[in-house]
Amino acid sequence: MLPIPTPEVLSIPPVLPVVSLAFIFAAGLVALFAWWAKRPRAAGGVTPWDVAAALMLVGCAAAILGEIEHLIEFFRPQESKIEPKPTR
Amino acid sequence: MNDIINEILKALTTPDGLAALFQVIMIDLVLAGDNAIVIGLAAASLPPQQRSRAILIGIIAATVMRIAFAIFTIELLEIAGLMLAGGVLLLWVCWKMWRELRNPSHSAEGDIGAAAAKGKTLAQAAWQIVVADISMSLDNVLAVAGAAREHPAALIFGLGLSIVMMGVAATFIARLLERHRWIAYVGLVIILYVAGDMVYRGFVEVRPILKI
Repeated sequence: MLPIPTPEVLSIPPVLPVVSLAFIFAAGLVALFAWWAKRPRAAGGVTPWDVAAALMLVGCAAAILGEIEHLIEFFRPQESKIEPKPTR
Repeated sequence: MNDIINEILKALTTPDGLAALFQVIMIDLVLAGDNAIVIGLAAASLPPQQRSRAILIGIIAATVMRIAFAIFTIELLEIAGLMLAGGVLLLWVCWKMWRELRNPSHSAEGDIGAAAAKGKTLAQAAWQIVVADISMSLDNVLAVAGAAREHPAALIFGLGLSIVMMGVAATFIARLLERHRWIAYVGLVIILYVAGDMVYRGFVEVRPILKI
């Protein structure tokens, strides 16, 4: 069901999953600040809670676009990864 | 219970176990993303007291599907066209959500009563969430089963973490979409991308069988 990873795919570092985690972490920090500062959730305009939720949405989107296959291949032990065929 | 605690302690004290734990945490957090968006989208138009119930139904459904699909991975892989079917199902959910976004007062115009005047019902939202959960869990089945198979404690921890992550993210997203409705279109495009990707990969999978 998963596409067979090519050497080109394996050479790409899992940037988007890392970006995703960074956004989710940032969302957590903003939400923590909003909770600590007792900011209202439903005030007029944009609240810190909205910012936290937007960061979370971007984090989730980055996770989806990041393709989980890259992450799994990245974590797989080196010896089991597909070696590129030698060029003649 | 003691075995599980020992396994968790072992995972936290050996380099191998720690690596597996980190891998599972990363993968489960990433996998929770699509479920969180679709649950948030479906729950956003519900009244606040029903929203938390819809999110809970979504999380339970996603967890059950994930465990069930991980158990039956081998059998599921033998069924041709499953990915395509999952993609088409998810497209249908996208269509329903698109119609709700375009006509937010669709059901309010009838004489169905006060409950319908609120728009979507809890049952409708739950149905959308469960169908989307089935499709997306199918998409993720190999990733869940393949990661850290040798470390059940890491898998259990990762699953627990993704449940918490799904709940928190879906609640945040649902509240955001309720306040700023236009962002729901962004969420819908993301889910549409997932559905399109599944349909494409499913079609590539069944093409040799259908000899197209």
